Amino acid sequence: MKARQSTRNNGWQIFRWPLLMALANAVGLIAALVGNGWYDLLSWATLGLTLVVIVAAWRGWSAK
Amino acid sequence: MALSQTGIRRWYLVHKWTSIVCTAFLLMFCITGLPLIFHHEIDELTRAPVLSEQTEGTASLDAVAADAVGKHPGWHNIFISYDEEEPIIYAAVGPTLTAGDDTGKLYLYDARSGEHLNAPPFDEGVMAFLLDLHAHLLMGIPGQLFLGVVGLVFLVAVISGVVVYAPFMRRLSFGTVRKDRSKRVKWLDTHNMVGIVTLGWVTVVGLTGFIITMTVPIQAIWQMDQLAEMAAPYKDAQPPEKLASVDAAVATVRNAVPDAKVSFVSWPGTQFSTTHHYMVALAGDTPLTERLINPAMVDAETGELTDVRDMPWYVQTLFLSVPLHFGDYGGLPLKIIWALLDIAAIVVLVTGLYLWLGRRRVPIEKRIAELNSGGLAEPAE
Repeated sequence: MKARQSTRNNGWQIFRWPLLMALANAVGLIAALVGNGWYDLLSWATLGLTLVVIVAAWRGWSAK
Repeated sequence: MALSQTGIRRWYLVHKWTSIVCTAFLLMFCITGLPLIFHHEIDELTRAPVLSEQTEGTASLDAVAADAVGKHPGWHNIFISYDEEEPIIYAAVGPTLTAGDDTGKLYLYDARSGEHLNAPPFDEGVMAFLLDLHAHLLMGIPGQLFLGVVGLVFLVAVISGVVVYAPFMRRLSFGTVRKDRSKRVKWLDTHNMVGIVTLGWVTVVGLTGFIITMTVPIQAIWQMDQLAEMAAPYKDAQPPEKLASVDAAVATVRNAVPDAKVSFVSWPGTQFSTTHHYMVALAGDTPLTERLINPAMVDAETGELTDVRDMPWYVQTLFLSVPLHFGDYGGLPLKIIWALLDIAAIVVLVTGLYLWLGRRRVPIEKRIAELNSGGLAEPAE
């Protein structure tokens, strides 16, 4: 079974991806507040990434 | 990083019970919130007054205020505000200066011609009901404060969810959703994956929602703090007998602060002003600064500008929480993303409910074993 690893993940390995996602969320939430135009585009891209990751993971993608 | 077995057990119980307490309310938030994201668009379709073809002219605020209050002899003007996007002026009047939207009335005017616009009232219709349910649980200020407590419990559920995510993922890669095992493993993985991916957004929407439920206390603090300070020099003065022109007051403020946008004017004696001032709210022109309204105080007797302040940090926090909660600050694409994230949150809630209902009579030891094994040691019936 590919999903189950033989070695144990440490805290950094477990939380590096969630931290990256939270960071992308934060950038997206703030960008659209700061300005319009490119800032809005950045906001859509980073918050939209969340949705892309959900769909990809549901369809079988996982990190590593 | 590694939690002891008792630690995991404790956090698991925190996650379970805080989630049970607030899941029903959160489902209500998410379901009513979905159409509310598009409040403005739906309003435009259903309520949008037919704006006249004319595009020139600037309505007189004095005339608009007089017309609105003239519809109800003995009533008072409370405030006038400009719509953010459409050329519309809202004029609020009420039987008392401190009347809320339950007893007062809000009238719409064309901001160019000053003509009264015949639009259905704001406090009727499906959207008004949904907002009242979402924000007040249909129970006014007590309902709003209660929902604030629900918001706090929810934030504890989120934090404890992150804590128990760690032992679960010890041998799994980020994003794993195993569909080739049992149905339970599939929904457990989905709950964890969607929950952790949407963590940032859900935390911000939850936290800003909580801050918005604190509107009444925050306003009360501002009244006792900054507003009282600005009212202090007038402590012994009689309330003005004849009010100065609103148009003149706004013009005075515009001259003094040319780059600011006037969004709102509050009458003396209302909850947004002192008994002696018009409060003219000034906003900037970026999505950030247009939310950070600052008060300019105009003496309502002499028409002189007496004070322009910055709002204190706690009021600015409240102002900034509104867009971050509703997602109405980055165009239609952001609203659509907001709606899809809202649906993702519903998925987390429903899968969580399924996981709890599906194995209710299983001893906790087996549930902890399930958590520790990444879902492989399944709790048997």
